[in-house]
Amino acid sequence: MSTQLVGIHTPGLKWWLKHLENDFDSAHSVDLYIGALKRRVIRNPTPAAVGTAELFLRLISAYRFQSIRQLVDYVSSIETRLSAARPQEMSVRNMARRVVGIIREEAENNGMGDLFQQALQSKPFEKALQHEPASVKNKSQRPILLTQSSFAVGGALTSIFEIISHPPSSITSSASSTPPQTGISRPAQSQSIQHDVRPAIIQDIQELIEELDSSEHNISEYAMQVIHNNEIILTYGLPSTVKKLLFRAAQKRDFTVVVVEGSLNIYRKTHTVVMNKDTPSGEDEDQSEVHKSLQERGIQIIVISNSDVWNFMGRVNKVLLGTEYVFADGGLLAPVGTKNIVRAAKARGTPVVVVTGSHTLCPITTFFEEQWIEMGDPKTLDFQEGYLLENVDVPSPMIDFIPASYVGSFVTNK
Amino acid sequence: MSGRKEKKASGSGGKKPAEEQREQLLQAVVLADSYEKKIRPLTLETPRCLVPVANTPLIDYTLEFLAHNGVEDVIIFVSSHAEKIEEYIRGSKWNLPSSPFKSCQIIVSPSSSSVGDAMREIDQKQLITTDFLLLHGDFVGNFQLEGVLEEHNKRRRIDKNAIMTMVLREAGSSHRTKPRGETGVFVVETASNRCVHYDEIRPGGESKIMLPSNLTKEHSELTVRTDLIDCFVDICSPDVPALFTENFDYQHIRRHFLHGILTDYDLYSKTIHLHVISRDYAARVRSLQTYDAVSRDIISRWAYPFCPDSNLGTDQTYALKRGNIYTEDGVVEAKSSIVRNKTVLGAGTSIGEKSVVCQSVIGRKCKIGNNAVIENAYIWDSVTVGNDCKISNAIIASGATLGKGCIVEPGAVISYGVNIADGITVKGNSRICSKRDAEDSDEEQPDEELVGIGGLGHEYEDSESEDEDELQSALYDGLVFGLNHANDSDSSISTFSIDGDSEDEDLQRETGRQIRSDSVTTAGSDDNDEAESWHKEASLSLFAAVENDHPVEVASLELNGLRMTSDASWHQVRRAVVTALTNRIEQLVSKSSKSIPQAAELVYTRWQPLIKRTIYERKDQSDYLLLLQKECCDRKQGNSILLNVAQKLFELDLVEEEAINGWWVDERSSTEVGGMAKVRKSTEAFVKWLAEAEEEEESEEEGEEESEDEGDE
Repeated sequence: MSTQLVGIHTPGLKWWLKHLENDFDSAHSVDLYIGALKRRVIRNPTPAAVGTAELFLRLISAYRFQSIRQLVDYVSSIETRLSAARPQEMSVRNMARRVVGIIREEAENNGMGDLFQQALQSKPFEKALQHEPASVKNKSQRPILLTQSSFAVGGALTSIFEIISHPPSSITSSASSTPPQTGISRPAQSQSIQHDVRPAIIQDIQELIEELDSSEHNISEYAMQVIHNNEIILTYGLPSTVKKLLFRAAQKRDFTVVVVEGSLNIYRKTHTVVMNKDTPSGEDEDQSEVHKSLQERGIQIIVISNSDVWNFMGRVNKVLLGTEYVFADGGLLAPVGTKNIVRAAKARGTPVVVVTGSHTLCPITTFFEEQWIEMGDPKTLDFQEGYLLENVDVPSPMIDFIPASYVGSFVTNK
Repeated sequence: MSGRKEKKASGSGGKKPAEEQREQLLQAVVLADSYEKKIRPLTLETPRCLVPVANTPLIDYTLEFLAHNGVEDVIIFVSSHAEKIEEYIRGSKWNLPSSPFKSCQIIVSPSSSSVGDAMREIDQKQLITTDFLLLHGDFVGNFQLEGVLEEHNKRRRIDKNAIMTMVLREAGSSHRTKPRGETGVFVVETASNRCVHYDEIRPGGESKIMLPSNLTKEHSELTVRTDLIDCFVDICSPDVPALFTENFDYQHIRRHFLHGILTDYDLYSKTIHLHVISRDYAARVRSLQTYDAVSRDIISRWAYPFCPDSNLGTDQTYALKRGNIYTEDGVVEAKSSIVRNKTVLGAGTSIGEKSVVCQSVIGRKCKIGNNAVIENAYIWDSVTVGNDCKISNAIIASGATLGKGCIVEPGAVISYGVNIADGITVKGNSRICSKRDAEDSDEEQPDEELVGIGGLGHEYEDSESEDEDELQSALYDGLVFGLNHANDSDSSISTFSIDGDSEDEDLQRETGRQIRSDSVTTAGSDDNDEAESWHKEASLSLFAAVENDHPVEVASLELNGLRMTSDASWHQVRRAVVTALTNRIEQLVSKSSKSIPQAAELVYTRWQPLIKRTIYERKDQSDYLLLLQKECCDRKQGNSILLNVAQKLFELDLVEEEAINGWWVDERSSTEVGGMAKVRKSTEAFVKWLAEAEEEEESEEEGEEESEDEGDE
């Protein structure tokens, strides 16, 4: 009674994982997740990907299915609802695609590949995956962008097309609209299908989650190939993928980092990351190591304002960028302000390298990029400017669309 | 965990079983009732928290805010329109098992008529045992509570008496989202953010506040802030409801509670702190003016992520287009129609040929005819707007119908189900509703002059609030604050009818100002209910003090306290003093069989310091005499009392000759109305004597020159 203090925690991915751990319910959790996505409680590609994968893991373990088709239908219906909640968060959809891909793989392993094909054809799955009517239908003519560059060797040298096309390539090629058939399921086999396939699917999804968790670490394996001695690297903000990569490189290389502090959305974070004051996220295993600052590793960091980018660009050897999403043609959705940098880089002929996890690679292209650009609150205008507020409109995008031509190469995991 | 969601929605408040292992999470109390009438007549039929802002009911924004911050235990406190709110909450996503709230109780308390009552009820039912968040069902915001609570806890750990943290948004000197009707003045100790004094400034009232002198002695640095949007979001300890119970007269959480606790710091020694946020959004829809402002803020995405295109409602399908245009699926726009920026269009709405819509919110299933022009308007669901209508700066509630060629002028509010016939012009600032208050339902005829033949609706009259303050604030809280008022925001504006034409307004405003500056408002404020009840209370308490022979100091403090709590004027204080002392004289005469002169002598000598404290200038003295005369009018021995007291006042040097003369020639004193002239007859001799004595004095001083004049007299 007396004076017990109460606490409160702004929900985030941690909250969501805790919910799945303790209170999972196959019907309600989906709605709760939809609410969380709408409320932007879970946002940004990586948390959304992890959250979605964990959700599918739980859903599939709890779901009773009698045929592959039923399972595919179920996954795609969930996917439709989730991505309708926030179409811009494409990693939700990417994860659903991966899950469908896993189901296909396991179905094929169990000699049920034909069932899977039927399931896809009977379902207007195409529609669920392609929300945007304007997107390209014939994937065969998709422009291929190679991560080919002078320094990229070995694992990094995969085409972006290969990565993306892995799970859904066969799906998208079959745009048939056969009406749903009901005779596919084979009741006699039903129990066995569930028994045969499910454990394998669950295991694969778990692997997928592990892959997500370790994606930054895996990317940083390429550090030595990306960064060379005495280079000056420019980066926008200091996203954690880029930071990990630099950190790894700092073990053997000696270089200088120029950090652009970034837009109003991210500059605070940039400052805390540069000063190494960001609280450890709790998910990193190798915290003690990572939490040492780059400076301690003997790397010089220069923080510059956005307007200085053009001055510095001439001295920079390489631009390392993080991004939110990558389209199939290599176009980027990156934090607002990135476009300024890639333009400067292009004008100076500085190579641009994008560092991102494979869950941000989306197998779609767009001709109307505006629909992917989320508008935030008008931060550039001070709310206290009462008079101005009434008379001006300040569109404040949180995302820049960057056409593929600005990007030299990608570094990703897998 | 199977029984994870416990949904209680019953009238009786249940206690939550104490969770031992988990950390206690912040509970939130949402007051669904505003206990105000500023959005009438819209709130006659819908509670304020269900009023749609950008096509989403207000309470959804409030609950989304709580969910966004991870609050899991919500108590919704409902008084008026209880069934409607309950029904809404029960049918909403908040009551589903997938709701982010683990518990969402609805407490129905139809008897509560103020925030104070609600808090007392909460205390009585022991609903809250830990610190909690108090907010209203009309709050819109997106700030993070975590940091605010952290600071609150930090203070609580050091000092148990830091009972409350108020969250306020910085907003500069003039801001659309700041309520125009009243401005809270927060005096804050700069270093600790502790609020040490609170007062309110109303437009038309005094534009200054008095600070207790000891403030500057006790605190080394104070900041006085009026640039804050008070969104009434407070983190309160359980002491707060308890204090409300202790002080049963506290109604308003700022005007009474905050003011009272700060003023009586010596008694309670509780401290209240401010948390000023300068980054995120926080506001309340408290009036039509703020309704307009908050709608615009939401459309301009200040409350991000709570924007229409986040589709917070389960069935919403808004998409954002360039220029902050939000359209839902299934909107039919004629090819030649124009939808300009900052517009929200709900599903099923159709816009006719060549119509123009800009900076407006249009709900679902509305039909907009051809050639209509809609600017800055808020049109709710299922409204039909005829061809060639022109609507600007107006609110049109659900189900209303406008005929062809109607013109709705700025500031008009058209409530539910009103039907306006063809070709009618709805005057600016008029408020039309179709439903009558239950009390006077005898007149069911629609006002044909207003809504035309075949129309439905009549002018809304606020039957309960005749008092000046409310009418005045209604003017400032209105949707449109006309240009001709804009310059006057610093000066006084007295009561005037809202629909009067502008010349009359100017005239009345002028006289209003004069009355105020004289500070001898008699006629104006006497029929004022609030003032009357204050007077009764003050004079009774003072009379008790006089009767029981309390020390003058104590009585004076008490009186002053009363004055401060309800912002009474000195004129009212004097009136209370006059009444109390006159009563005492009468009592002495009748009970202790003293003569009137004796009684007057006794009472006025004893209470002389008290009177001194209510009189500052000469005109105050005249005012005192006038009040005395008025008081004596309806008493048996009024004339005698008046004479004796007047003499006594003069003897004790409480009033000067000039004041007496001023009073005597005042026409309010000599009028026949109410027996004023009659009662002062016996005093005439005294006044004459005074005049003569004065002239004698003068003549003595001035010498022979004046002797001739004396003869003339």
